[in-house]
Amino acid sequence: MTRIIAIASLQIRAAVRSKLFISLTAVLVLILFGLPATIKGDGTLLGQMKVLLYYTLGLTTLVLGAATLWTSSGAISQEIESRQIHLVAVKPVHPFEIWLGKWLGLLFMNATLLCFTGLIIMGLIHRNINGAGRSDQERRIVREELLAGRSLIRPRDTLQQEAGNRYHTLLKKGVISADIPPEEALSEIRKQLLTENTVVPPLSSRQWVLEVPDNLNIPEEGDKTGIALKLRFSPVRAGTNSVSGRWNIGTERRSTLASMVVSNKLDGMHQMTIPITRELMKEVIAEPGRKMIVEYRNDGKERSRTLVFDRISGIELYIRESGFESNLVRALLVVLCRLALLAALGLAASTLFSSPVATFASFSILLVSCLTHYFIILSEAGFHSCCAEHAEKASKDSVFQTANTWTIKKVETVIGPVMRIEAVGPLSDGALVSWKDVGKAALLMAVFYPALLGAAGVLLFRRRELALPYT
Amino acid sequence: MADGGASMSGQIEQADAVVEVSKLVKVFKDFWQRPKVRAVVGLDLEIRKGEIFGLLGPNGSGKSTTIKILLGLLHATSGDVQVLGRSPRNVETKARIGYLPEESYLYNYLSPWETLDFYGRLFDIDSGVLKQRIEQLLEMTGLQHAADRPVGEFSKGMARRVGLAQALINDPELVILDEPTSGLDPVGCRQVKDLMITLAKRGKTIILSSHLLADVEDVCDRIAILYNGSIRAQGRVNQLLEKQESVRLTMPSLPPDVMKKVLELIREKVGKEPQVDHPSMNLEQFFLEVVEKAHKTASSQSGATPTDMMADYLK
Repeated sequence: MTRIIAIASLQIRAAVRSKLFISLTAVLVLILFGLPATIKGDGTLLGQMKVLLYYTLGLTTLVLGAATLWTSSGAISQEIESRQIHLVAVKPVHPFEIWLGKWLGLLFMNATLLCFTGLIIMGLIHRNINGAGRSDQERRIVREELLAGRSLIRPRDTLQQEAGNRYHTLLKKGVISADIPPEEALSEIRKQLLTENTVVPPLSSRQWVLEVPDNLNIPEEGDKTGIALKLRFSPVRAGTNSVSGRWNIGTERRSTLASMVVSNKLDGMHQMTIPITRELMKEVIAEPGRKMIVEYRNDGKERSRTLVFDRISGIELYIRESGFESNLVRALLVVLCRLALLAALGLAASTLFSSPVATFASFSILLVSCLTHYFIILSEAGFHSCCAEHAEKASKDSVFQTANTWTIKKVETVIGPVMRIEAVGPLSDGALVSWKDVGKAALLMAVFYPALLGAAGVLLFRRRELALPYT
Repeated sequence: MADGGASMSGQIEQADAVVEVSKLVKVFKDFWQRPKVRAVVGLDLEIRKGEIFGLLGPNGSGKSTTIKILLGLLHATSGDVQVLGRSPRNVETKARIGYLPEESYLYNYLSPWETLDFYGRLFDIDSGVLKQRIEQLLEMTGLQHAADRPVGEFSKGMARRVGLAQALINDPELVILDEPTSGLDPVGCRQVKDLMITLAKRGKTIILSSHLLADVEDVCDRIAILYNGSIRAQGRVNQLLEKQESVRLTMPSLPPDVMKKVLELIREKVGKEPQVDHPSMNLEQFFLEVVEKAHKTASSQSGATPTDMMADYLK
């Protein structure tokens, strides 16, 4: 352990004395103070706070990520090039200790900078909330909607499954000809279902089923805004549109545990919050299946227009599970885990290549990973077939396309679990970053993948001749 | 060795082998694994405990390659290498070796104290013992007044002293010194040579690679001369250099008439003209005397301080 700590301390000293640490601190100060001053959001305090959280923390993660990748890519290779490694490698140090020491040094540097970032963000938020020129209403909205760690429950997305079922039914009935390519037919069915699922014309109703997880923490008695339904919809036509209807909230057995009449004139996208009582929530949890049924009946009164709900966030159930401070700490821990993975990637490249090649290789791997994940998200958003038999029939791809698809899927298998863990987005939406997320991030990004990369790095380091004339 | 003596030589010959190299071959290959340079060709070497062994040879003769194989920094293409009874890449073997490379590959942003502390911690030396050793080594190398300055600001000679100190931090059994006196002033050179002799007396084994033949001649028990990757001459220094057909006699100055008679007697008995001159002090001894006098009168200096002190734990 002494040797690992010695190497970690050396890495930290190198960062501090090469002015890297100071430069990064200066860049972070610039981001943290400069960005909120230049981007104003939508003019509301909530918008300003969202910008403060999302952009500053997002950019901080980006800058620290790039710096970590660059520093780690040179951490071992530069020592091999300058031959400083000769004096270390002839000491009784296992390559694993060199690798781990460097990684821990980088991790400590990032942890320090993230702590600094967190403290500044906390200070800026308190200053902005308590600053003059803001109404109590605005402050309350920010406290309720942003400065909290809230679990978010959305209706299960069954679009692909529904489309598949309807396709089979229509195919059996002969409504769809067997000559029509399945992808084409499915695409049309999906569009049709999207309309059906998100549109509520006058004198009709729509139901959503929200499945409440069994590990949910119900907020304290005094927390009246702890549980709330958030609804996003717009009337089908802009202008003087009136909305008139009733919201019923209940369970499968008791459909109207709570009810609320809505009558308003709307213009554009509307956001509405319905507080849910603890009693209602307990009723839901007591039900088998723990399902909350939310229904909207468009009563058609006063020439009420058709409502169009947002497909993704049309209806969401928020449950306040933690305060902002602890949520921020958890989000920063997830970011730290991400940086730990980048450090491991850079160090692994550093054991194999020269410093510039290692930097190029690790940045390329990161770019390819991000792009692959982006393509997969696009395909998940409706650009792939819903079941295997359709995929087989869909088209006869070329060998290159098949290989490409196979590669992308395999890469996604590796990087998907990592890329799906988010912290900055949920934090700036007031959504909960749970300890489960942190644990998952730590296990994957600070233990499992770094261990794999470390093992590869150590193996390469052991095999490498450190005093070759051209190294 | 300067003050070794016959009894010491006898002990060395009976001692255990610290380094055993048999049929060592090192071929450097290119990216496509095609042979590029044959740096070492069938080298056999045995270095015993307590001896100072000199590796000599012109540039590119394979000295540094051999040393780097002994340290595990390069892998042998073929042949067998045993250092302290084990593979040179064994971690336990490395704990018993001290190495000074041909250039002091130090971290420029660390001070001498931090440098020694870092390398000491790599040997997992107890912090109290390490602190004492660092203090003694800094005093021995004359760097105690520059202990907190970054090594990057040092002259080559001062950096060399830090390099030497780090090679001794673990009180090693085998010390490998590659051009240890390069960049050092004559005082430093003498000090390094005295240090090698002291360490050898304590039973440490030293491998010295140097182009300064006078230094090698001063301190080494045995030498090997390499050329093109193989040993061309190997043996005890005095045996290799001794001229059996000549004798040198040193005595107090004789009166002219006595001198004349002695020379006539030699001419008569040997039949050849004898060579007569006054023994002189060598330049190194003269320089050391001058510097020692100057040091006694000087108040302070920015470079390394001349010292004849030896770290206690190395004595």
